[in-house]
Amino acid sequence: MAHGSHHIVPIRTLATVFAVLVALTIITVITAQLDLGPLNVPLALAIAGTKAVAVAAIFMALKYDNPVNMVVAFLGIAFAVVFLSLTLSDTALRGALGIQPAGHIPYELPAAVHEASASAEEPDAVALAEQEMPEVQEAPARSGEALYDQFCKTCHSLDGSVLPGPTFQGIGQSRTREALTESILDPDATITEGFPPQLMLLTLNALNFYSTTSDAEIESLVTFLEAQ
Amino acid sequence: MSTAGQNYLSASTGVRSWLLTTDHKRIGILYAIAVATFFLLGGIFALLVRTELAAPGETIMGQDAYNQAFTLHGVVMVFLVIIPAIPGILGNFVLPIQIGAKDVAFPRLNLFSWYIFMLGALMALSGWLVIGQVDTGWTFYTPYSAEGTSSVLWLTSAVFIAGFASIFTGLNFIVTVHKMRAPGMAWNRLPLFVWAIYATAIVQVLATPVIGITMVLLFLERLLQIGIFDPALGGDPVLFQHFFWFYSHPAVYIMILPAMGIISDLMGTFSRQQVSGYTFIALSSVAIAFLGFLVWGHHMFVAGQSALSSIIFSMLTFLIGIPTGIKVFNWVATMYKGSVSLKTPMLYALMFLFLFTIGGLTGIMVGVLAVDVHLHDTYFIVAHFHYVMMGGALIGLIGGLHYWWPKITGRMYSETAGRIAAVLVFVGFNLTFFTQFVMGSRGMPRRYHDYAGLLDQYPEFAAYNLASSVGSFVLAAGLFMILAYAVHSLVRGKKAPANPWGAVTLEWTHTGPIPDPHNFEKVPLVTRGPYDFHLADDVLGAAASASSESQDNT
Amino acid sequence: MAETSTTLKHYFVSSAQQFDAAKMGMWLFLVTEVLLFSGMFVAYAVYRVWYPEVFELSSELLDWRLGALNTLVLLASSFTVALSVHFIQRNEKEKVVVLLLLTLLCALAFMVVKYFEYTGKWSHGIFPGAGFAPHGDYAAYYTPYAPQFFSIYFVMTGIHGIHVLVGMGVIAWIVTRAIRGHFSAAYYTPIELTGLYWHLVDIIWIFLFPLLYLI
Repeated sequence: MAHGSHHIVPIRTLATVFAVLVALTIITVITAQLDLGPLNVPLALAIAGTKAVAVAAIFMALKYDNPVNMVVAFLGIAFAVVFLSLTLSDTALRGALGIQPAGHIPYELPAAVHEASASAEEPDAVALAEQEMPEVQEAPARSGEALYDQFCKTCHSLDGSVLPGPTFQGIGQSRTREALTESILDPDATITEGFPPQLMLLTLNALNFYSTTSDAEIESLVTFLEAQ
Repeated sequence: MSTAGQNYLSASTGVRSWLLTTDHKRIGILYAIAVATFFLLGGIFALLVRTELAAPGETIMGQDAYNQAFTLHGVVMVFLVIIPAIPGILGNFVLPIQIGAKDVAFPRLNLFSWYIFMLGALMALSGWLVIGQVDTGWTFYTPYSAEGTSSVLWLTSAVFIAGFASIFTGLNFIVTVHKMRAPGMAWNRLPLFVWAIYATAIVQVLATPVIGITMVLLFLERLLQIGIFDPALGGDPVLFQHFFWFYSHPAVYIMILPAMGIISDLMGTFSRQQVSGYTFIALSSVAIAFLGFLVWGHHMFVAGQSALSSIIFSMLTFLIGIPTGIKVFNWVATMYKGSVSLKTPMLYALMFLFLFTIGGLTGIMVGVLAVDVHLHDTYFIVAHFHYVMMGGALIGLIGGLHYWWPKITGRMYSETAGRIAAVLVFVGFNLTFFTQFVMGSRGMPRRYHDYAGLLDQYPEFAAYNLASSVGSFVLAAGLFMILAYAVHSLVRGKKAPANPWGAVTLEWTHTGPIPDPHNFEKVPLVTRGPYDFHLADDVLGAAASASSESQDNT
Repeated sequence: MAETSTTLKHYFVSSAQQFDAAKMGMWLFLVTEVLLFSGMFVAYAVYRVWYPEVFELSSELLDWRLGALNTLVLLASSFTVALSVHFIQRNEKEKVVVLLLLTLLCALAFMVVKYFEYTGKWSHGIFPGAGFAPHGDYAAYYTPYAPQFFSIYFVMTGIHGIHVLVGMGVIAWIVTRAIRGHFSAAYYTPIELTGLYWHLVDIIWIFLFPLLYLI
């Protein structure tokens, strides 16, 4: 074959590359089981990148091909990187330079409920969440029903139907005002049998419930629940 | 193979021979017919919008109808007219001949692109007729588009499909330019139109897939509430704007770059001298193509993106001025000491120079962060992008169509009528859009169906709007006049010689009055640059017999 | 090169020019695929940077063993495709058919694994976006923005899966052509191009696997 783009890649080379790819797959799986902290993501991406380069260079024969095809492939990747980095220059840096546009308030799972970090010291989740929440402007007090609609409705029904949490039907008869208040402020103090612990605290934290709700509003929410 | 005396129009006849053709010249004409139809439709929507705004209060339609009218005007003009127009019509017809090829690299893919384009176009329009009511504007911003009527689903599918036509056309041209050039057609001998289409094709291939995935995600947002773009579900609407403008800003260069290529060819031919700074113009097209990918965030200065991001995008936006300025100065320099002949195509080239410069410079103005805060979402923006899209891209197209009309149809048009229409278009265009600059800078917001409530504070808006609406009808009159003499030329026009303008690129020097189905009798051997008029006399003498008398034949 | 006269299109000068043009066209098409997927990778990156812990927690719901198995299956299929190009260049046509059938088999295995993964997720109420409602043991994974993770998971793997299915269709088609003896060392463009496409599908998965299953 006279022409460069008809280069025949030897079987030996192809087999070697395949073996390397399999080995790298095993390595990435093993390293993912270890916790390398901030190195987890870069390492996994570096291994994936190496595998991709091997496939492109040998299996796709870019190494032996007309250089223009390599330029084409490079352009594709370069512009994907441009897309990624300039988009992240916005999304990852909202609030940079002390200017906070309307947009996302980054949310982090409280470390206490993150299973992967079980060995770490467990800080008080509520305190952690309150500490990290950005300042929120004073809003007019909301009614108990409005709070229910905003924070509770997704998981707790009023009519006895089954949702992720227990129903509120008849909760005014079965619980005292104090028990209701406690269940809101410290959801894991008493857990209704058959329902997962920590889920409610996690969800309410994520919704900024504790940092945006005043004592008076919680009072009115309790009053609303008492009437059920 | 062709026999003597046959041309691409007469070689085979019947509807089938057109609908199943793989000849790039015929496919160019298929695009021309489709795009002209959509242009008429988009133009009617524009006139409806301007009529509504001619006087305060409800003139001919209510606000919902108005929202649909400007949405359809935008969608039709952007996706179905300006983006496909120059590559589809003139790129297809001219580019393979200009590089001395028998056809594009993938002729069947080329025809397939046209069918995909038509499918997308018909879906977009039938969605409007059958399902109705898209009033999101052509930008489909979330969250409104994620909550709106179901025809958004239909329209996003249509845009997704039409995008593939653009991708395949671009892919075809890149490979054609790389692999199909005639012997001797070195890169530095490519006509500047080819360079421009080549740069455009790079943008089409790199940017269009992103609008594809954007439309898919918007579709899924609407269908499954995937929560990527919809803030009600925890998504980020500004992220949608990133996705949208990563395509749609480069798409602006898909629209304007081919027109710049046409202007380069026109400047050379009608000044009868080497285009000044050939290499710079050629490479500035490629530079614009690449820089065009780095500036999309300037559409989002007031949308809530990070301040740092805005600063980066603003600075990158100014860089676009460099390659654009290189082009403009070189075009002016090309005319200097040339023997400029003010034929109709050259009138449009000059018009382009004037209008595009205004459009481009106002682009730098709104790229300034603080200025944009004042001008964003006003008629200033509307005027700016119409000066670029209409004053640049479409004027370039019209100039190019006049230039290559004799080659495409084998007929001449009336030069007098051409000049009168050009004056009408110029006057109408400026009356329509320059007034919008003024009222925009005074605060007239875009996309409002009525401004009666603003007149207490800004009584001048009434006069500006009326002037703008009158201008739009003058512009329409000019465009209809072009249509009229084009039809007249087809029926009664004088037979055109092979090279009526005395141009020296291959499509004029090496083909008959109407090209052969396979373009050339034999593959041309290229020995000179595209604008080497000083070397042209011998070449013109050796060309097809009809061109020998071409110089004085018009 | 006598055989090429039947496959050479009239608008090309030589079969080398035709082959080069087709290959470059394919590479450009692959670039459009890269940019198509880049949109989803950008969405992933944006949400991962915003909610890293949600993403780490949610990825525990994906079984890395199945992901690793599928990675190996796809790598093997890439290997067989590369071998089939090697053997057609050597004009060993029978081996090409066998290798392409093996590739098809790997692709099928990939989709079968994917099917069990998807149905397993659905049976636990794990759907993309607003339909996300894990129950039973998985209820603890009902965290805010977990729906975003699974939206991205289903969209990315779904569109990748569509590419696998399309690839299977194309490979099945060239197998039938190979059986009918359409290809030889002098003309094997369709095998080469299909191979390039298939490797790209593999490369996309090489990135999807760690991003979704491991980290």
